[in-house]
Amino acid sequence: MFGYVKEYAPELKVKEHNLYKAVYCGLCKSMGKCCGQCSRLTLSYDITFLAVLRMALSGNSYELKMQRCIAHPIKKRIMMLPNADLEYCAKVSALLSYGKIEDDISDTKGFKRVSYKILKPFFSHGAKKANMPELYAKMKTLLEELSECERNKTESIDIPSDIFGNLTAEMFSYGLDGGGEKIAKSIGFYTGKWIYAADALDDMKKDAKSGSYNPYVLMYGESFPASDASLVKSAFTQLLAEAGKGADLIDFADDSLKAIVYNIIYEGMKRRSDEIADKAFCIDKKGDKN
Amino acid sequence: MNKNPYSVLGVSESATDEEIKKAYRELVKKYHPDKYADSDLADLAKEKMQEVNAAYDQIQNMRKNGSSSSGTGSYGTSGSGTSSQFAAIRQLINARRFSEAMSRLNVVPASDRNAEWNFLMGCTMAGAGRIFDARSYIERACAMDPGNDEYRMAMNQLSNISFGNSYGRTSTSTQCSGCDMCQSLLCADCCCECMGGDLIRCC
Repeated sequence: MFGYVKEYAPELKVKEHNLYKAVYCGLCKSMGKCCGQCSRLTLSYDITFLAVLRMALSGNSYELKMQRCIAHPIKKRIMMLPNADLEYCAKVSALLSYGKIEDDISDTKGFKRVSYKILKPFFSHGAKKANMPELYAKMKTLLEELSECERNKTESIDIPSDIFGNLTAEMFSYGLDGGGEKIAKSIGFYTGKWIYAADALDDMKKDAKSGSYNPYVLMYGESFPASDASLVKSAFTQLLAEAGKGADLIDFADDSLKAIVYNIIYEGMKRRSDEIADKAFCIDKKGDKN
Repeated sequence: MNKNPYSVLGVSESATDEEIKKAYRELVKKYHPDKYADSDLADLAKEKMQEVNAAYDQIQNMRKNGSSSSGTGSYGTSGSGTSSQFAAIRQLINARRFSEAMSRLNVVPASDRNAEWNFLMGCTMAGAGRIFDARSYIERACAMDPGNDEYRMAMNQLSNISFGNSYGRTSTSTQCSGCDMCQSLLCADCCCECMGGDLIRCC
């Protein structure tokens, strides 16, 4: 996805950070194993968060091992051996990339469209191997809804971010049942909404120049009123607090996983959105001076 | 209900009462219904809250009764003569679902209303705040089965509640009344005088 959902390493214990890295590497290996080598390029921190969360919800045990990998052939690293949760996340990642590229092909023209078309077979292989038509159909509908929203240049950050939130809610909760499904849906929704809103804010300046769809630009123009800084920040915080409520209801069997989940929601994501907001508003301040 | 109440609260079995209270309060805050008021997760939070409340009560009761054994019931199921008919009702009481327990107890035919029935009725009443009614049921249970420790302990516990601990009517050894203090001071004075000193000048 975007790589916004990341851990904040200084607040993690070494063993927790090692586990986080092991999940990241294990996810990459699982991608290679069940969706083809090309799909390993779709690895992101966002999907790593999904993996940590799915593991916390399933409560399954995991195995760590020192192994080498293609990207780092010299030194052995600690990795999580592929398991059901990692494989699920690998497949979801492949599906999402394929869904996005299909979407991009229908949305763009000219040279970009051609380049997407060239790339498409690499992703379609992974999506085929993932073999989850039911989930893919749901994701596809939501992605189409999202691009329609973008085509119509909807002047609201809530409408498109809700659609994206629903998309991530499906990805987070598919295949679960009962309380786990509800929790995953809730955390997925607020995480997705946060990602969309943070990404839009981050790209504001770029999109204003290129003329791409960006709800913030449509609502505020190129410059943000500085008085809205705290408002935007508190909106992000509220989304994270909602995600945190979901995490509060998980029966964690593993303390390290628990620490990672809370670290990502309350430290990593919080710092990231504050950073993005600060950046967006600082640029405006400089603009005012000029 | 099979979970260890200490692990539900996230404390060790050797935790002090203060630590338990603190952990309990933290969890109540964590699962508070106000926090989940507009959320889809409200019912999950409610379940958690019930679990936490039941665990806290169970620990409180276990500690009051002076037993550290992890019995399954907050009213100290010692296992003596627990019939299967009443096991479900005990669970309801432990889960603090008193009205359900009450209606289940009310449909028990008169012929089956033994000591245990009276005891459970008393527990239900006590849980619902009807302390005086609770007393008469538990008294009857004690009368029907005088040898049962569980019933006797419940009786002691109720006496404590209805007369209040502060007056020391049940005279547990840890309590210290005004009388005790005067006595101790006089004693200390005597001792001092023996040694040639004086603690209380006037006597």
